[in-house]
Order: sequence, then structure tokens, then C-alpha cells
Amino acid sequence: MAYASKAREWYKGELETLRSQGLFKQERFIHSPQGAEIEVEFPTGKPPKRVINMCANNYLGLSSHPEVVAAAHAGLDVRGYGMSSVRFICGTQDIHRELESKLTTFLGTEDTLLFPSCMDANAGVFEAVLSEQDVMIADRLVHASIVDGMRLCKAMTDTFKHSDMEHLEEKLQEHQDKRFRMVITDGVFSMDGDLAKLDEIVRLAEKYDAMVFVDESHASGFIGKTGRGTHEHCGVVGRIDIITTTLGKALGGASGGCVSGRAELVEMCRQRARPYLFSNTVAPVIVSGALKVMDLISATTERRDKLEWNTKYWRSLLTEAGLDIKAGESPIVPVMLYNAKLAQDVARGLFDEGIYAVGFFFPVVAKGQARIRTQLSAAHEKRHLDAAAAAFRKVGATHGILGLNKNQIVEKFGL
Amino acid sequence: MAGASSIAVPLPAGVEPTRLDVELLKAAFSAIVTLRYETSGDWEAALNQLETDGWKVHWGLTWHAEAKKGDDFEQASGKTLDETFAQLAQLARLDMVGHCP
Repeated sequence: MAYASKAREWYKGELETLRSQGLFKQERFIHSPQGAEIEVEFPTGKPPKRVINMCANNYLGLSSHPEVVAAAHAGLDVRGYGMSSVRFICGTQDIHRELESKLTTFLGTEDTLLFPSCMDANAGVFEAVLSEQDVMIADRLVHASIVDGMRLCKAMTDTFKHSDMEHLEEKLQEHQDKRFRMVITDGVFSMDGDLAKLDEIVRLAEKYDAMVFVDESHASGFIGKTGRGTHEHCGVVGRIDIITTTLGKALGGASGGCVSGRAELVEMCRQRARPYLFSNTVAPVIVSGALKVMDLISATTERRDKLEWNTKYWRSLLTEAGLDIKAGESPIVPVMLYNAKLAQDVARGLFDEGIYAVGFFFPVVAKGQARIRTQLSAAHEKRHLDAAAAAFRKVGATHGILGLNKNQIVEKFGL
Repeated sequence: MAGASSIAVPLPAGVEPTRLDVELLKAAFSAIVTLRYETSGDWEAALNQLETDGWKVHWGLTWHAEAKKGDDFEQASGKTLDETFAQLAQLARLDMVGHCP
């Protein structure tokens, strides 16, 4: 009964500290399928309210697409529910290999290996391909899962300032004594929605004999002219050594991820990556849905084009309204509020107006960088965006932030 | 270490040891105490077992540094101070910013 006393009290205290610091994460229950409009129970216990969803990673609007749902149903009937095994024992169906092949073609790589999630792919990939003789040089704003993967790897860790190519070049020069160098970056950074300078990164990597790793979770399916990703946008398809990405965002939004890239590196992951070796892979029902997703996005760029239009329109609406947004071209559009309490108050006000968007503040983002991260979807119609912008204007006017720049917001509300 | 004794060494008047001086003195005395009094042989048995199991073991005195801030804890070891603190700084930097899902 040791836990019942000392440990229980300690954990209760820790949780209370999180609450008192405003860091306690509370789930909000959704009573509908994922989409442009959802029914949200908030606060818990209240009747669900129909709101416009501006915070999902449902970039292509495929999470509840009827053809994807039908394909998943069919897959469930034909291939069953679970595999009850890891891949290399008896947990691989032909459709797993078929999906890997389609991802390889779509991403323009040599081979692909599915993982239970992109979090798992990032956790396992570095340890599988690098050792203590090597160095990992990461952008300082890479995703948390990459940080965890780097910590699990014995190679030396180094970082370069966010998107600073001069600093990256210094680091590449500094580590010429290492056996292998790997430059590590997100394709699209999830906090600001900015794109990595992949063309410059690849040029430096080729100059200093380094491999390039890119996490394309916030890019696959919609960045680039045909949605291949940041490498297509930057004109470096075929020159990225490892791409990781997720099926949990634009590509249907269920779950699952992959490592895609040079054939030998992918094979090393198949032999050594522990999240692949020691856990079941993506369930057949999800693989079946994902196969339909790949067919849909390979056949037409219609959804990707609509998302691009929505993104431009949304950015113009917010700019016209006098809100301070992060410039860029990705469907991640942060509305900068700088003050944490202001971000929470505006998010609450938006919900009252029927708009679901979430405020982010320290420690999720740096101190003084609080914002509401809005995310566009091809499922949004113009009317959704017009309604959301009207709500932003109304709530913004209530707080007196329309037309204010950073300094004026900070002067008025503090940091 | 209850009951452990320690030795205080007075410094000549006017001497202001730097942080590095103090660490060097502590390291030198720690090495002497270890070599003189750590006689159980447990370490050697562990080393021999590793080598018997096929491990090629490299060992020796190194610098070790730890950093703690709130719930975060990082530690690094290295043959030189530069190497040790460079590694510690990089590890700390990995989580210096928050992360959006």
C-alpha cells in the first residue's frame, strides 16, 4: 500500500501544481465526426455545441470523407480488425506493403516503412541508422518527437538556430571529423507554420557530405504543386535521404506514420527500429482507408488547391480585420496575441461565437509569443471562413486589439 | 556518507581560486581518495565480466556536468570541459522551447 500514501500525495501535488500554473491539459469531448463543423461538449457536462473547427490537422478534409470511410468499412470486412502480432512475425498483410509502395511513389523516394505513428517513426529512426561515430544537427524548433528520437540515439547531438543557414554551415564545418552527419528539420514547423529552406539545406548537405532528414507531418498531401511536400515546394524531390510523415493529419487523420527514403536506410529501420520491432503496426482498417486516401490525392490536386485558396482567403480576411498574423503560405495561421491570458480570453470568446480555436502560450510556445493557432482545411467552405473572420473581428473589437501591432498589444496587455 | 570526514585546506592569503581551480582541486583529491581507499574490487569484477561478455571497455577519469531547472534534468560527460559543456548545452537546448503537436 506504499502507493496509497506517499506516492499518491506526491502525484496529487504535482497535478495541482500544473493546474495552478495554468498548464493542465483538459480534453474537450466531440460528439460528431471530424470536419469543418463539429459538436463540442464544453465545458464538460454541457450539451454539445455546433462550432466551426479551426484547429484540426484535417488539412485535406479527408478525415470523414465518404469514400475513405467506405474503404475502411470494406477493409474491416475483408481483412479483419487486428493483427495480434508485430510486423516481422505474422503482422504484415499485403495491404501494408501496398500502402508502403504507394507512399514511396507519392513521396518520390526509394522505399517506405510504416510505423504505428510518426511519433514512433521519429523515436526509432535515428537509433536505427546512426551511432556514436556520427552527429545529428537539428533545427532548434524541430518537433518534440524528433527530440525524443535524438535522445534515444548514441550519435552526438548538435543544433542550429532556427532556419539559420550560416549557422548550419558552421556546424557542418565543425563536424567534418564525424563519420556521418545528418541535418534534421521539420518541413513545415508546427508553431509558426513556416517552411524549412530545404533547397539551401540540401545544397549545404551536399557540399559538406551530410544526409538530410525531414519530418513532413504538416506538409504531406498539400505542400508543393501536387502536394508531395516541402521537398516538392523547394525543388529537391529525390534529394532528401529520410522523410518521416504521418497518416494522422492530412492523409486521412486516423493514425500511423512512416519512414521513407533511401532503400538502405529504410531497411535498417526494418531491422533495428524498436517501435517497429516491438509494437503492432497500423491496423488493417486504417491501412484500407489510407489506401483510398492515396488514390484520392494521387488522382487530383483539387483538395490541395482548395486548401491553398482557403489559406490565402483566410490570411486576407484576418489581415483586413487588423489582426497580427504570422506571414507565410502554409495552412497554419497563427494569430499573434503575445499575452497568455489574452490568448485564452480570445479563444473563449471565439467559442461563444461558435468558433473552435485554441490558445497556445508558454511553455508550448516561447514566453511572450502567445497566440491562437488557426488551421485551414479543404473541408472549409467560404461561408465557414467568413463566419470565423466575423467572430474574430467581434471578439477582437471587444478586446480592443484590431489594428494593433505587437508593440501596441504588449503595451496594452503586457507579456 | 553519514560520518564521512573531510579535509579543509587553507589557502595562502590573497589567493582567490577560480571555479576551475576549485574543481581541479576536488578532482585531484577525489582521484587520490578513490585510488587509495576504494579497494572492494567490485568495479574490477564488473569490468572483467563486461570484457568476458565481449565488450571492449574504455574507461578513465572524465568531466561530468549536470544541469537542473524545474523538472528538467540534463547530464553530460566528456574528456575535456569544452566537450562536456558543449554536450550539456546542446541537450538543454533540445527542450528549451515548447512544442506544438
